[in-house]
Order: sequence, then C-alpha cells, then structure tokens
Amino acid sequence: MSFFYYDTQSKLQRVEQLVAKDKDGTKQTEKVSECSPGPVADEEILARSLEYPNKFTDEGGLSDILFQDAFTHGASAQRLPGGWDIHSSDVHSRFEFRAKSRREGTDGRAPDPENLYIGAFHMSAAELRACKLDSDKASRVRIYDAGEAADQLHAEIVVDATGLSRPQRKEMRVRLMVLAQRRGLFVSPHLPAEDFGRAERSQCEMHLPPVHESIRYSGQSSAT
Amino acid sequence: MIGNSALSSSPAFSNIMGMTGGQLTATQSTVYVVSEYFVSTKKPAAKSDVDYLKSPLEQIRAQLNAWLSRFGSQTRVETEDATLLVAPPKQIPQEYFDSYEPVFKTVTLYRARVSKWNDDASEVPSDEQKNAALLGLANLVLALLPAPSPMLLEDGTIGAFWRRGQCYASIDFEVDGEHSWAGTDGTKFHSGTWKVPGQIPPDLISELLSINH
Repeated sequence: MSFFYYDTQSKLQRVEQLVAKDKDGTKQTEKVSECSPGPVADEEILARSLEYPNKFTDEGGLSDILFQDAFTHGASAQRLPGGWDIHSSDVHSRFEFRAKSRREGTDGRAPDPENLYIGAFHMSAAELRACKLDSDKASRVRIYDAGEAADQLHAEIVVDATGLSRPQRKEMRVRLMVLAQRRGLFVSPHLPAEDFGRAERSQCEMHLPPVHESIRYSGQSSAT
Repeated sequence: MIGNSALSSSPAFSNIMGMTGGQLTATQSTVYVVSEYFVSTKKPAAKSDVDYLKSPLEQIRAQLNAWLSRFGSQTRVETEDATLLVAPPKQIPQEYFDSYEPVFKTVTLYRARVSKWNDDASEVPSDEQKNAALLGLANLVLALLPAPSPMLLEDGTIGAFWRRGQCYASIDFEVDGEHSWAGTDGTKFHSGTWKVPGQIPPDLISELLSINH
C-alpha cells in the first residue's frame, strides 16, 4: 500500500495520518513513490507556486495562508534537481498548465475561471527541514518524494504539528511564509499583462521575466 | 472584548492616530476606556454606562452597523459592561473608518466569494466564523489599530494580517474568542493568544508598531 494512502473517513487530517505513519520522519530518506527518482535530498531546490485567489488575494500582499495546506492535505512542491535556473522555464510551464486546467475544469473539478498562476518561490529542502520553532529540538517539516506518472518530480511538504498550540502552529505558518519569500517571487512569464499588478501587490521582491520587465517600465501594471 | 486602557495610553495610540490623520494631540491620547468591548447580539446585552455624548464608541458602533447592514449581514455590534472614565474629546477621523470599510466588506462577502472559487480545499466560513471575525475586527477598530488585510483559511477561519517589508503580523479569529497571532520582523518571531475580552497583547502591539513605523 502506498505511503500516501489515507483514510478519507478518519477525523484526522491527511497530514496527521501521514505523520502518524512516519513518527520520526525516517521515510523521508526512503523512496516512497514508485514514480519518483528517489527521496528528496537536503541540497535539492523545491519550487512552490503562488496562485490567485486560493493562496493569495490582492488585499495586503502575501500572507501566511501560503503554507497552510502543509498542516492539512500536504503542500505540493516541484523538485528542481538541477537548480532554479535550469528548471525555471519548465516549472513555470507546469504550474501554468495546472492553473489553466483549474480555470477550464479539465482537472476533474468544476471550472475555476479566476484561478491564476502568479509566480513561484523556491527554497532548498534543507532550509525547509530546518524551519522550526525556537523551542523545537527536532525538525517539524518533512518533505517526501511524491512523484506521479505524469509528474515524477512532485514532492509533498508536511508539517508535524504534534503537540503544538494554535499560536505555535500559526507561528510555523509565518516562518514558512518568510522562508518562501526570502529569495523573492519569480513572476510567471505566462501571467497576462493585465494581471501583472497582482504580482506587484504580493509585496514580495519580484524577479521578472523579460516580458514583464517591459510591462513594468511602460507603466501598464496600473491597468489592473 | 477589549480593555484598551493600556493601549490607549501607549505610544501605539498616538502613532496610529497620527497615521490615520487623527486630530488628537499627544495630551489627548491619554485616554482610558475600561472594559469596553463589542459582543454579538446573541449574547445578552448589559446596561452600558458609556456617555455617548463624549465617547467615540457610539460613532464606531454606528459606523460598523451601517456597514454590516449595507453588506447584508445580520450581525450587529453592541456594547456591554462599559465604564467610561475619560473619553477622547474629538471624533475619530473618517479616514480611519474608511480604511476599515473594505476589510469588513470582504469578510462579510467571503461566503459568496469562496463559493465561486470552486476550490475543494476551502471551506465557506460559517456564521460563527464570520461573526468571530467581524467582532474581532470591531475590537481592532475600538483599539484604534490600523486596518489589516483579511485572509481566509482552509477551514473557514477568517484572519487578518499587516505587512510592510520584512515585518509581518497576523491574527486568526477563532470562534472561541482565543485569537492566535504571530508576528515577525523577518528574523525574530513571536506568537501568542489574544483572548477576548481582554487587552491586546503588548507583544502584538509591538509587532504592529514595527510594521507601521
């Protein structure tokens, strides 16, 4: 049975069930997905997408909802074994494809016309695994290889929130958000010009593809 | 839900009123409003001792209720167990209220908005979650804190956050009134609970000051 199998009838969240199956996190060092190239090494870079409106809205910028799914369902990330520069184009295309599928409802769910892929953050697996509270002795963030046939470099980020109070869980969300934005938001080259303002309103340091550099300096961003 | 005597006499109060274009002077910022807070109409309302001729509380309440009515909400805010010692002699500037209006509107309309997202992961906020947020926000207004931005968690909990540069602070409005908050300047992190009724935690105020300076 797959490590990622979980009981949909359980009162426990999917992440809680995964943590219960791997209490000390050692499964991170094993290949748990048949389709993946292997476990996620500390030195690997992972990309996390920023999507409008379910991960971010225009109101006030990036918030700590960015990683809330790491406490519930598991947070998706894309492994970049060759680093950001080598994989950035593929990653943007993959995230945009996913957003387009959401917009058009071709992913098996009802169409979500507003769904928009804004850009990506990236960080190393080691940085994620080192993210913990001051009082923690052990790591709380786990990263599993979760490759699928259509996406072999898919990874899942899971937070072991066992024993944490609500404020501590919230602090972990904030810490993860701060980590994610550290290198800035790498704006999608697929982001329509009229939506460029949404990327600006993330209030993150922005890294722009050439297509958006010209938009920024021509002042078109005010159109949104 | 707010005992804001400490806040009102703290530098935070002067700072925020200055930010919002307030007309209060430094000496007028030594304001004490004790045990004054907003509660849901579902709770029994006690007699209020507020002198509404002098207090801005009626102004706040009237403004919030006008918004809630306009946005289609059945929720109304009331005051309870109020003892007014000294009231600010001038009204809160309209600009301050204006900064909160879009926040209340978003929270009130989250239900309709989320249902359009078609996002399986997001729960539509329940009435209890919505009211917890509205009352939490009302108490932020009462504390004269700058308007936050709203956010919605997957389980329907509504939160609010402030950010500027590397500084960030955020609150989750929990239905039991024990609101979790966390803040950072980008390097140091703090977190805790704002239990209402009760004074806003000084650490949270410090975080907000660092954001708004």
